[in-house]
Amino acid sequence: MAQKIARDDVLLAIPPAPDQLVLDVSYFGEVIAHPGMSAAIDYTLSSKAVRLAKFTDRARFKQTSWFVGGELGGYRHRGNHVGLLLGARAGVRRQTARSFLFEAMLGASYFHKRLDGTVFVVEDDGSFSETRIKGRPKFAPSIAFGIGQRLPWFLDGALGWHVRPGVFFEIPFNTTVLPHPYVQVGLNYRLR
Amino acid sequence: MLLLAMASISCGEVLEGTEQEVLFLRHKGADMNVWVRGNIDSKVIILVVHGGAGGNSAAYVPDYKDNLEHDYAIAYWDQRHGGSAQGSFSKKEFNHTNAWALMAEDMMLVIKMLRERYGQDTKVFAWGHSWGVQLGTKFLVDHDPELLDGWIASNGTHSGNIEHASRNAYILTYAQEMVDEGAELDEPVTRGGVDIQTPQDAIDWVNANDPITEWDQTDVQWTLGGVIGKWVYANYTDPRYTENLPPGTLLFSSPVSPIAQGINSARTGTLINNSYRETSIQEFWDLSTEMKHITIPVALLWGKYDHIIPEGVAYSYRDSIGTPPEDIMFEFYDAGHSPEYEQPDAFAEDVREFIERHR
Repeated sequence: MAQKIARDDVLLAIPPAPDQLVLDVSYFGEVIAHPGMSAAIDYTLSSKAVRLAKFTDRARFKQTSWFVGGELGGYRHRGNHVGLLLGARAGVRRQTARSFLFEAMLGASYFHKRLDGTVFVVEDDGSFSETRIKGRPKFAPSIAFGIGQRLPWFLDGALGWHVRPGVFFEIPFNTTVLPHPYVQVGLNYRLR
Repeated sequence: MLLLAMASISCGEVLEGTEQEVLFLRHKGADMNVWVRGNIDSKVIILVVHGGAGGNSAAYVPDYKDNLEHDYAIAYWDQRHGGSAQGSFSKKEFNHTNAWALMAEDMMLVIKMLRERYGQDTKVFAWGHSWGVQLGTKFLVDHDPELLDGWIASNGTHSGNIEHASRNAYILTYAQEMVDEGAELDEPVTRGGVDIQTPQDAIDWVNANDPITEWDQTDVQWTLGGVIGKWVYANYTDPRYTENLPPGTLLFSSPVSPIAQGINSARTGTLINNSYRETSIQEFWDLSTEMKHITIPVALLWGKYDHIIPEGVAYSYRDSIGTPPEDIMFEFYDAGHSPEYEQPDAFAEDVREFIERHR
């Protein structure tokens, strides 16, 4: 009888509440090694939890969440440029029963690309002047995939880590488009 | 730990230990980087005019960093839509009809910018390699050559037509040697209905295709020159190559963007450097009749066995300029297309001698 009650508890278990608001802070490495930082906040639009039947001792769920968010990031390629990204992203994140995270996301950002050096411009009379306006505005769509894990034994499972390789596309670049591969390595924290 | 490792990679020291500065020239939509390295206090700058079109200047850093950078400043300039050059402009502003003159204008401005930055008393020499000779010669023809204190040209041309004629002469000379020695072609040349199986076939093809006047002929000639050149290099050259940089050096610890280099090269290839098609900037043209007003010191430092820009071009270049003979340095090396890479010590020694004579 006791065994049957326990199994009923598993069947009737309520899935955990989805993360509503998640902050993530990452090292942002353009081609891995041009160092920078990024921060993002993601808001969950919808979430679906499915109980996994194979676990009979206690209730376990996998959870799929669709989210939108805002992101700010920057990095420096010394002697080439300093990049600043401000934009939005949207994607899907799946959390397994063992708290591993898999995610995919698309983004669209304003990309401010500032030359990292002394910039000379030619004046109308043919003379040169050093300009302080070193940047150019760009558009940067992006795609990224991530893996990570929530740490259920720490801060009540609110904290996690992630590694997120991706690529953003600098538009325009001369007469074409320049891909910038990057990786984000960081921590995420459930705010709500 | 991972973050620390990444940060340490990004601060690599491999290319440091020398004075260096990155300048940018912003002109007509392009942000062209000029990586100035070496002995800036020398008040002598060698401006690198790289090959391509669409190549990059950083490729020459290994050739110069352990020799000429000790004596002079080297300005590695990435041309518009080449190397790591950035910017934003329309492809209408960069095509086979207008890019050449525009890039020559860029070169003129880069020279002026270097003097603006390092002093009007700075001596500026320019070294062009391959396409860089075509570009540098356009600058010398369109603008004031006296902006330069000297011009060093290696294995590039001043005339597509003379280049074709010289390559035909190269093929004839060495194909005949192959016939005499009983050598075979390393591979046949079969393109556009042409089937060249033996050195004698090569001779016959040249005799039937001289002068070169059609785009299809340039395709066959280029390929055939490469096949003959392979035999020539193996028999005549003894390269002492520059030591390459460790893998990843430019990617992780320099101002260079190898991804931009790749994208620029591919795109420039499509827009202006598309050999054997009418959109190519590099075939049927001739500056040889416009070069007599070039009277500045000129060094022609040439890989003697180059099949791409053969030695005949160097003789024609020498005869086309107005520089008095005593101000011309004319040297050949046991090398192919890149003497600065194949014979770096001898090449650097001659550059040094030329600059010291004319600084």
